Amino acid sequence: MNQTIDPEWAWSEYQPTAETPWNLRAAAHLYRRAGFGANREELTAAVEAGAIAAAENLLNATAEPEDYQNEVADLAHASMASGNVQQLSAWWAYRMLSTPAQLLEKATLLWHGHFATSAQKVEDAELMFDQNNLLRKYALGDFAQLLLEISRDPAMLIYLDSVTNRKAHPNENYAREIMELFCLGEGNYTENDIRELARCFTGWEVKNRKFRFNRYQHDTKSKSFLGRTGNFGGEEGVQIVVDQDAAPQFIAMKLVLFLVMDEPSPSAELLAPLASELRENQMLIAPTVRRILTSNVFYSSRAKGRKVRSPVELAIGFLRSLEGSTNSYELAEKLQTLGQGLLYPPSVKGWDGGRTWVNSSTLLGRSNLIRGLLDHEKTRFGRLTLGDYLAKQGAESADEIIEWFQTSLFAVEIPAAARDRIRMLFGNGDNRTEKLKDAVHALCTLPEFQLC
Amino acid sequence: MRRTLLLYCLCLAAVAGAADAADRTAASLFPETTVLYAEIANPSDLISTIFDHPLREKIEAIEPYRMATKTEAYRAFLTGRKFVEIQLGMEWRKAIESLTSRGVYLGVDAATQGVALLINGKDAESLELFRGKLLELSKLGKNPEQIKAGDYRGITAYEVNKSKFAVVDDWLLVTNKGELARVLLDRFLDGAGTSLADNANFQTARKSRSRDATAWAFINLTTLKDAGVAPQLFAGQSVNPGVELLVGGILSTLQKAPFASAQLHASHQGVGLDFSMPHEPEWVPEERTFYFGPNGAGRGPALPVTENTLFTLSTYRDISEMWLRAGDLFNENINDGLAQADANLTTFFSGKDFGEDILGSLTPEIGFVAARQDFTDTLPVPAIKLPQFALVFQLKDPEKMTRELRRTFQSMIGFFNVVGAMEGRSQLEMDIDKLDNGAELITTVYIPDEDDANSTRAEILYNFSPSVGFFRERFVVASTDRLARELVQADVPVDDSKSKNTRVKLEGGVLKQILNDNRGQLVSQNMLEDGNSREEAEATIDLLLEVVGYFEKASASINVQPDQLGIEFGLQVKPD
Repeated sequence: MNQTIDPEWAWSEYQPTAETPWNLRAAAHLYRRAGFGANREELTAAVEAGAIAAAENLLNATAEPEDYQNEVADLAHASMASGNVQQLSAWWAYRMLSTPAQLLEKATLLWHGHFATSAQKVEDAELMFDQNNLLRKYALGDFAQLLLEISRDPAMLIYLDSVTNRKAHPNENYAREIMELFCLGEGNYTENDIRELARCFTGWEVKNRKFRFNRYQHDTKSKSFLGRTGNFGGEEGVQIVVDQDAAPQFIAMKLVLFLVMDEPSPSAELLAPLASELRENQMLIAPTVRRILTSNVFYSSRAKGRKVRSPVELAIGFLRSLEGSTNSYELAEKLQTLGQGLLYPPSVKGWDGGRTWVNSSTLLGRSNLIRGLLDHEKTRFGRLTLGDYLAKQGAESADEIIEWFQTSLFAVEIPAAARDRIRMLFGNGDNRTEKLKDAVHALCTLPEFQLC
Repeated sequence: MRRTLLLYCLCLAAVAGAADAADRTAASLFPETTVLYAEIANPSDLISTIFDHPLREKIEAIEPYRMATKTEAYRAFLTGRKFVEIQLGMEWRKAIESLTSRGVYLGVDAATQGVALLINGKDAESLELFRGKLLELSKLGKNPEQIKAGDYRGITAYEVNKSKFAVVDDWLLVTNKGELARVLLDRFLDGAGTSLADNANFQTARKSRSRDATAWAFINLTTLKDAGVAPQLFAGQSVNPGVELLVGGILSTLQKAPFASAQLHASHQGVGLDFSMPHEPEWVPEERTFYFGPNGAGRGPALPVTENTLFTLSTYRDISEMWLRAGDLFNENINDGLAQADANLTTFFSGKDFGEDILGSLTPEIGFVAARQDFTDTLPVPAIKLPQFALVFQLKDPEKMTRELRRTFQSMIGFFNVVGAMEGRSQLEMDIDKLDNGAELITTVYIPDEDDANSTRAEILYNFSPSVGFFRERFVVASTDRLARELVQADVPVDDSKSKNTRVKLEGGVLKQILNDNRGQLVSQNMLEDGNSREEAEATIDLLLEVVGYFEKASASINVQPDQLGIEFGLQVKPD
């Protein structure tokens, strides 16, 4: 199907039309992809600002206020004080719920899945925290620098069994992953390239939880890989990898899959303009993200409702759209149960995403997650009960509430039959609160709600 | 003559019966088969203690309390209360005081398996008024037809939702069993059958009732045991060594004691709850001598006094004896675990038998002290500031054991350092110090990484600097060098508690200080746990600190006397 997408049209600046108008639902789509979700006030402001300005605002809001940064730093240290990494996972969930810089946080999640490192193996809250900050620092910045920094990140090196790399026995683990998973993709390197790059990384070690270059263990002889020959060190090795033509193409694909559509896999032709954009901007990520978020294809039927909500998008999106707050520890645990534990990706490949998020078992889990959030005594919406919050939003009758959810949280139309079924669940008189929860729960377990 | 005598006797009996009727007590109304009896003889005092307490105003001024009073549920409660007050024609507190002016009594009867509440009102008139209003209110409920009335020997009894109630003179009777209602009414009318007051155990227990007790209760343990209630509790067996150390001896007494009683003292200064039951040294089986000591004479020691003490525990437990008698006390699984531990610990203590030689070198008088840590002049400062704590032992043969324990401690620190190095943790540096009073200290301190050296939110590890101290017979094992140093030098006060097997004490003021030291951490945890904003979290934690600040101290003790075992709990509040 992607063969029919004209790249020029796809990445041209979006102009609202009768078919793809700029309205609350379009703004909600922008926030779901470039963030986790927005409340009605934010959506209304975005509509008033216009599509391009709204995307610009998200891109510009990447510097969190100093007070907020101090506050989340305090929270992180409080979480780490006991040394339990699980608590740091809860901290990140809280951060996702509260950050004013949604796009930055969403991009941090993207790179966490890309440079997957699991606390299960690292077992060190401080190292995971440092890596998380590193990902956030470069989430929309210089990809080449991010790649270099992550190559020297202790958590990453521990996770990939690369804490030692001696010239006598070069450790090929990291050299393989940087080319296969982080920067080029399969078919863009040879086994010899891996061996030679591994020699560049000799002497790169982790000692006492810190990166160290052991000059005595570095192979100082000449290396030949990816068409270059020289007495390269690790830094030059990373630069040579990122200089490959395949690198921007590979990263552009990651961005499109994350921000636009799960499938079909974008063609090389479709990605070419974005790859050029990345290269022209010295691998700076933000300009390409801007182009994606302001493009025709982003607001077209090729993108809307063409992704499956990940557990994080499901839970955080639900709460953020309703200004919700809850127990972050339990939320983090539930995300882990559903397969997207923050700081706990399943393998070095990260999360497969897309359709793999949904099967008979996870559907039940997703339903229970929403019910758990609705029923939890700590869950509040705009500091109010769900009923009071929706009433404040002007959504009191069954139809008003369904319409409110349709606009803010659904990427596709709720079928008429489903609306009828859910309308029946609302009620007056006794147990109105419970009936409202039942109806909202039913809404959020619809197949249409699983899409974003 | 005979007829005259008979008539005289009948008259005497009638007069005596009339006197009984006038002097009815709840205990004389409940049947002898009553297994649990509880009374609040003067409810108005209790109401006054709660509602006229100086702290009440402060609690009412707290923001969350005021928020709670604005909720719909609270408003509904107030409306309901007002409605009842209008019906009764008096304010709720006055109504309760009038209704219960001469006591509230609860009984659980084993024979009928019923529960009954007897309320002794101000007088028959006010109780009659109350009965009438209660019926009117019940009729306003959802199903007024559910109220049934019946007659029993001239007394009108009512049934509402399976509860039966009746008014006799100045008594209101409420019960869940018709059979129990009949027994009680028979006792009301003619004193038929024996009553709880006739029970010898009850009479004995009653003698220990303090005149100023706010509430008092009696439990007939023999009946409970015969009925098979809570068989595990009365089996005398504990489930693990922790429970055995804590309550092993009490379980033995419970197994044999025919009854127990409890009394509550409530005042503006605090609340005290005392349990007691008969106790005889010969009831304690040989394997539990470790708990009470020979002839039940084991007493917790007086402890050295330190600054900022949070918690103290002073107890008599011969742990060596318990360890060696484990085969008689625990099941196979626990014994297997203890055998494994014994083998490991024996290795750890250089081949010395852990139970016999190591634990056996200590006297059974054991103390535990926890105190607030002062980090004013210390770096790094841990993010979570834990109290420091120490065990205080007495050595039977200090000359012999000091050297042994010193060497074992040094080995242990070496072991910690090896394991710590493998896990990338900071290392402990050891030092030996001889003090002027002759005490000897072996202290350790964690050496921080360069990055952590000046940290004010360092790892939890920096709460600890494991140390031991020796001073004559005194042997201190402390979590910090400061506490070890303080405890080997501190004076021991004269002990004035001759009968205390165990004493624990918690200081409210120090607890508040420790919580305050961790305020930032508590606020952060609250934000993550409750999803609160910082302002909300700070308000919640400040409320917690304020509430804790109202408590002066809490205490508990186990008292062993030649014929009685008592367990006392106390909570003191600050008067203002």
